[in-house]
Amino acid sequence: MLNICNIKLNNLTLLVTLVVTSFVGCKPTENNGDDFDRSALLINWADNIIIPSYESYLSNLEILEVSVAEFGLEPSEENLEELRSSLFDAYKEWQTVQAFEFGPASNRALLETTNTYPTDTIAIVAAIGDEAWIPGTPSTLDNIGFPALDYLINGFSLSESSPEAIDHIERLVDYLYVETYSVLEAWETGYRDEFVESTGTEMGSSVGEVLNAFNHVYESSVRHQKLGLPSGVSTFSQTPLPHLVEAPHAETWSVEFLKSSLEAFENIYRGGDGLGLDDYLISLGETEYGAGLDADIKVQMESSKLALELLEDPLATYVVDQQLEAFEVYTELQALVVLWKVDMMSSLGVLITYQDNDGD
Amino acid sequence: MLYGWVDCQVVDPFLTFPFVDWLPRPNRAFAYLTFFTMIVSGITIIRGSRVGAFVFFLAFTYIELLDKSNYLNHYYFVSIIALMLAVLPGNDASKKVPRYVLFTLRFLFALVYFYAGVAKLNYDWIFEAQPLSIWLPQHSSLPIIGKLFTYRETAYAFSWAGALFDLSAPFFMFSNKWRKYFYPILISFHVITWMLFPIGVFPWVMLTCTTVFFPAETHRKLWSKVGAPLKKLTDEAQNSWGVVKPAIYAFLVFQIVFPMRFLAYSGNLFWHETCYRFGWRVMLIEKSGWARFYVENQKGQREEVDLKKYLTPNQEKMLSTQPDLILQFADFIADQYEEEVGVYAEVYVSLNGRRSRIFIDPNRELSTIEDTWAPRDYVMPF
Repeated sequence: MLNICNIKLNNLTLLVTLVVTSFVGCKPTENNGDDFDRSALLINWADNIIIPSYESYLSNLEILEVSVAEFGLEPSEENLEELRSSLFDAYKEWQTVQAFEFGPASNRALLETTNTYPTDTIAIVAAIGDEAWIPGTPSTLDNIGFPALDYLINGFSLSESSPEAIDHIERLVDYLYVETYSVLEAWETGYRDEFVESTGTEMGSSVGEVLNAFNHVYESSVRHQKLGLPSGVSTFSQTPLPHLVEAPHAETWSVEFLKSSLEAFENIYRGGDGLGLDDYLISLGETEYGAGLDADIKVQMESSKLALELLEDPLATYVVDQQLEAFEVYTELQALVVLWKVDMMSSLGVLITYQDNDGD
Repeated sequence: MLYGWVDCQVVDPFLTFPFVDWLPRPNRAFAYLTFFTMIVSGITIIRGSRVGAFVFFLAFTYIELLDKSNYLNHYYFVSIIALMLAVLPGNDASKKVPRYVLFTLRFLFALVYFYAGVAKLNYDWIFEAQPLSIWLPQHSSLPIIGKLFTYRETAYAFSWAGALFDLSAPFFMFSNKWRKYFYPILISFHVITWMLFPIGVFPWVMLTCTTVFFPAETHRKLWSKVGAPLKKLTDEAQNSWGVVKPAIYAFLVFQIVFPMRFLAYSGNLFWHETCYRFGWRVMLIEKSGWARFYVENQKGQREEVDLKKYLTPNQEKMLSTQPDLILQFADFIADQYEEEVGVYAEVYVSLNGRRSRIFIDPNRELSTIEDTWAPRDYVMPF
């Protein structure tokens, strides 16, 4: 036994020496996109996409505040139109920041407080004039944010314009503003630097955070909630559920918002005019999981955008009258989930953390 | 921390994926009682109680068998060792320990290393340096050495060194001549893996336990310094249970054969994972997947299942790449409906950095398939 061991050991020693020496003198080739400048990617995302998007969204909320105030002073038909148009702009701008649900936004559960729908219209009406009402508590999540504003400004009869109703609108807009302001402030006072300095790809790294939020928000808040649920994919009889569309009271905004959402995700992917995930994948070389995957994703993004052109507002009517077409569009949106969440994540070596975005 | 784990892995989940269907799920009180029993009996093992070891074995194995999605090789290992401590003679009043007892423990440790090494001898590990090529660069932000992890050569070096280490560890550790040189390597190996990968206490378990390879003299000197003299080894067992020794040897043979049962199946083991568990296959694959389930009624109408309603994030992750969990879940989903329904799944999986492929036959009704030893024909060919 011992002799056999010794022979084996000598062979092993030889093997170890061979292996060790074979690595000496090898010219290292880099791997996993690490000749890719992740720091530049993060700087591009932070300075050219994330922070400007929040700034633009915040200024839209400011305009909305002004419109609310003007309508409060003079509740004319003209000012109501103005108010609706400001709401549309802000709500649309929200679609460009929804994907950033990590770090400061996730700490404030921005996605949940801004856009939880269907909204509880009874709770909204009950809150009007209630001095003790405070937005942001768990029981208010389904009666604040844009869905509540959609109801009050587009659906609720504001013609009698009770001052309490306008006060409540003001409270709702204020809350959106304050929350967004503190998210932007966090980005500008420290988080941005922390973000661009964390250049790894491990769990909790900036790339990991962005990609996890990107996939999570696209999968559940865009694909599923904006189109899947209302068109009835999750109902047995496949009954469409038109009341589940986004902004049901505006009637003509839902498809528009879906398009803005997809554009926003494409913009993060392409990195605007700078470095994006496409460059990152291409840096992995001319392989099926590198440049090949990027090409597939771009083809799919085009085809998903084309599919969205099929949809017509009001989406609530469309999912009832043309449900099969709605399913086809849904399938197109879904194809991106596989490419992004499975293929891209494993190509880049980033792990899905599977955490719910409930702000913990 | 422990309490958090009990709640979120044992008590709170909507459903679990037990290894045996009839295994009862504990309520919160019973779950805590089991963990409490584990702690107390764990302490009695240190005091040398064989009954304690057996109770620990039962409690630990019970929790382990509750949910496949929590399966870890080192839990299985802890179970085996606890069972050995309960069954092997040596803890009784006699002053002597039969020599084969020591051999059994050493052999089991050696087997873990050896099989872990054999499992690494596959195309992805050796020629593609996968999954280390995916995992190591995640540490590229470490100071000084971080940059090293970005080189493909590093992944190859780690892969090959790891395989070589695992395969040779048994021989070095059994060899009186080489053991003292090899043990520092063993320490570094486990410390490095502990730093780089989320594998919990496993490295420390192995580090401590492999001291069993050192001659009894070494231990005796050490322990008598702290005032706890050890028993002597004897060549001939003086135990009264004549059946123990043959039973132990039979168990060792079983341990040699059992991990090899995957050989009975064709196809890529990492893909279909038939008989993947209980075989010391550690850190071998990086699989990511995305699964959706559909329920179809008699009229042919379909609805998509909301996974978040039933599964914890960890379960959802494990489910999306493991065929037997997919079957169990399909069965569970069918039971949620009063009417007769069929369950179908659309699953995409990426294995070791490859592009994703369709994983489960999307046209197969899954809830009526039994998870048996039969080949998994509902898994698409790799």
